Amino acid sequence: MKKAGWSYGLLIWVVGVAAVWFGNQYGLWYVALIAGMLMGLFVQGAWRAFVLAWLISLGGWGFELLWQSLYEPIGRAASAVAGMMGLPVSQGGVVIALTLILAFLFGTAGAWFGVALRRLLSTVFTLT
Amino acid sequence: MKTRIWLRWANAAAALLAVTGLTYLAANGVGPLPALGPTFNPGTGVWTVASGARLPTSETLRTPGLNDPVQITFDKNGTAYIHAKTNHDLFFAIGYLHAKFRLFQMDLMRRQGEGLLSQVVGPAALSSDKFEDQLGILRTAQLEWRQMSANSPARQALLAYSQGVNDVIAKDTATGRLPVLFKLLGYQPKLWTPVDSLVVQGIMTQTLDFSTGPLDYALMVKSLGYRRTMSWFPILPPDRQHPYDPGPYTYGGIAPIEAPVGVSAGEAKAVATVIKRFKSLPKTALHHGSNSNNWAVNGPKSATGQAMLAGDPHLNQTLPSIWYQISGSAPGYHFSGVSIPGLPMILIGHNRHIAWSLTNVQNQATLFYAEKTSPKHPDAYFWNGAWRPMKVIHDVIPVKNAPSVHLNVDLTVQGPIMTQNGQTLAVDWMGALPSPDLASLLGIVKSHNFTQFRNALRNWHAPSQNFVYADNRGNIGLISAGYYPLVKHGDPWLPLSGTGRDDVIGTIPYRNVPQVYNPPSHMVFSANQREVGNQYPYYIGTTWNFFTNGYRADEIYQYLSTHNHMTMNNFAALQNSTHDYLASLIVPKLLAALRNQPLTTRQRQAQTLLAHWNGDMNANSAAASIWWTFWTTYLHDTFGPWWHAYHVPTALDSDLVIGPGQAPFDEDLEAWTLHDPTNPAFNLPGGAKRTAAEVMRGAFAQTVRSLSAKLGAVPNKWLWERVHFRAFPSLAQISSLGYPKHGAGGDQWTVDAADGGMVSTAGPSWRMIVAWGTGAEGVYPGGQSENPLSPWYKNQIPAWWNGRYYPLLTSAQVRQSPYHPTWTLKP
Repeated sequence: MKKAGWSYGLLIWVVGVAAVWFGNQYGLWYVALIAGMLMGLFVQGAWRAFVLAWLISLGGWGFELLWQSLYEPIGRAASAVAGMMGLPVSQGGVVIALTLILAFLFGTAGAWFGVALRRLLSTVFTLT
Repeated sequence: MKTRIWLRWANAAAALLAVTGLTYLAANGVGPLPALGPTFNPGTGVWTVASGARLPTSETLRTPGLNDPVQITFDKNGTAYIHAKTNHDLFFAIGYLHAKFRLFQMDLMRRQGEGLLSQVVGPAALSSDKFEDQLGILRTAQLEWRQMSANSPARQALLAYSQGVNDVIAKDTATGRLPVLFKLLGYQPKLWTPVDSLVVQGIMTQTLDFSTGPLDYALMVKSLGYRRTMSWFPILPPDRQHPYDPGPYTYGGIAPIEAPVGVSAGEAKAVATVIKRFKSLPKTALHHGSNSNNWAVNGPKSATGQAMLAGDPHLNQTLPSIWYQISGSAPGYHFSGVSIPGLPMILIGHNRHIAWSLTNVQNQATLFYAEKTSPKHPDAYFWNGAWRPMKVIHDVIPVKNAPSVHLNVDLTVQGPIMTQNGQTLAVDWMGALPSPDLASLLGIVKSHNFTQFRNALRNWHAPSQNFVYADNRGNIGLISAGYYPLVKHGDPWLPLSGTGRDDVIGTIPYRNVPQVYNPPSHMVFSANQREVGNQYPYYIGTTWNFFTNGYRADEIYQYLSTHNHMTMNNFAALQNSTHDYLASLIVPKLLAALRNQPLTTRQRQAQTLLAHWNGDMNANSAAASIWWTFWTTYLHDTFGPWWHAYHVPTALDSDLVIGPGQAPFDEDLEAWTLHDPTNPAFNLPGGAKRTAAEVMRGAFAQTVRSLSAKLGAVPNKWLWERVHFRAFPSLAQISSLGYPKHGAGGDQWTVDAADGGMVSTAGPSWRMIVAWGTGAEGVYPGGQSENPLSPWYKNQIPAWWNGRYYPLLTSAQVRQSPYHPTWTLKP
């Protein structure tokens, strides 16, 4: 039973990461937020929903960067963008961190809203 | 239970608030923060700067706007070789390439000209936008576009070019591959139009041609008085110069200008207001002494007997560079040279028969008019005996993160009003008149001989340029094409009366503008010196703010006139020469003034360094530092007391600051030192008498003191590279994207010019040599791509810095090289 839960979770994660990654290719940055909401709404257990949302949003954005770094000078890109933002060029890590924090926030906010909505709806429907 | 329900409602509301807030921030940004979602999205955000830096590979690209397939081959430096089957496809491909490699630069240039910078960078650019709206580059561009006939080659070129640009804009917008700065600034470029190209042409004209000379004169006349101002800043230079067209001249009357042309306390106040506004403009808004060289030789001057040509336009040196190098072939065109992103043709280069390059003529092209107004006639001005209503144009400037600004631009017959503070001052600028420059360029590129070349330039109006010419039949020439405004009455170097009395009545006829063809000296050259001698029968400008001091031209003249059988190496040596012509005249006088004088040990060491110096402003020369510091001090010690006594407003107008490079200061002091060492200007305003030798000795002592304080006690270690630098800043003014300052040789008037002060940011923006029968080569300080991660971002800087060149190859030669990726654009 536990094994099935893990497999189920893994499947959701893979599908979620793929959806976020695919969305990003078309500029749909908010897919990470939507994925978080869906986790919150449909995954049982708030913490489980949050963890899945984080893994999906961070995976969708982070793996993309990791994948690109195999072929492109992502470190230099981060430094260049830092310079353009008025930061020292040595602060490229800040740009990478900002990107991942943003993904994390999308996952968090989405999952929070999904969980809150699910709880509210369950309470309202229980009352009626 | 109720509490639990309320808590859940509150939790859901808080979560909704968080999601909404985050979504808003991510979608729209706030304050200086861009929209975070699209900006940092790894798929289409700023991270694409990495993949966008990839060098081209051979591939086929679908481009629906073409008639036939086009091949674009790249060499190892990124120079693009276009092979098209129709002229339409050639211009389409140029637009495509410019947009692929320089789209942000193009957008920035059109925004500057159209007064739309504030829309993307915020209120900081408002002064520039207001100025451009008033000056009216966009209005001129729109007029030029309307005046082009439907089937004119220039119109067809602009349309095809725009199609090529827009193909890239559409594709890159759809795929999220726009240049990174669009993403950080949070906007997408609008589609390119032919008017945008004409605006870019206008911005270049403004950079080269719009000057504040009459305003500077007005301030000087107010403080120094008319007589002293005109004595020190005369129309004709006081020193011996080398005009390229020595005459004889004929007076050919006045030719019409092909479009309607339309110092009191009050004037001075108005002038001050305009000058204050100009101070807040971007560096490229006004002409600020970035100048150029070009020359050509034939016959015995050339090793092969064939004609040779050299050109190095001096402009602000930025990353990306102003230039994009291309070579093109189509049924009507075969050329190689450098283009400006935004314009569909090369400006400098060669075809199969002729080669050409440009320098700025520097004639007076900007006139200011003090309009007569009255409270009894609001919104009107007095002109030709009657009160006329000003034409008012209402404009709205969108401003990022701030309310839009509404602006009314008042127009008189002379031009737009620049201020109404104290006096209504209008500007009549030749660059505001339509100038079919593109048609001229297309004509040049198709020319086979000088007659065709000269005819192609007949309608070139602004910016006035010295076009040097050399062809494959051994002919050379030089012609200074453009408008030279002539006024009915008045001193055009000062603000004129706007009542109609002093209006522009025409220009110098084309047959009478400075020009030479196959002169007996077998050489032609221009370096922004006054093109003609003192007998020339037309007014073309004064020594102040228009022509340079002529020392580069003197150096070029000296080199070319003393060398025969020159090769490309000779031309390269001259283009990279850091020999200071003025130093070779003045240093002997300084040494003479120091002879038999009591000197300190350090002064004697400095004197010895100068005595053994050859005048080369080499980076490793200590004498160069001594000379330059001396000349700067000598200028200050001569003019400074007068400036102080007469309160010349240098804080208001930085052009009035005493220093090297302001032509009449250098020319006066040179002429007085050499031929008039007791000129009253050396005296102090209080009456104390001084001679040139006395002032020189004082300046020398001050030089040694100041260099000791700055560079230490050992004169041998006062190397020029410790005080003089070159840097190539980023066009977007982002310091990390620029090329940082490095110690460098040269100065403002060496042939290898370093303009812009002790940290020079202007100079040879492209060096080209064409030797018919031998080959052609060129280099510029930058690279073909504006992407800072691209290997082609600044790859040509080391070669440029070290005086090396790259061959300008033919398409066939490129295809034989090991690296020649080719794009095949298919309709």
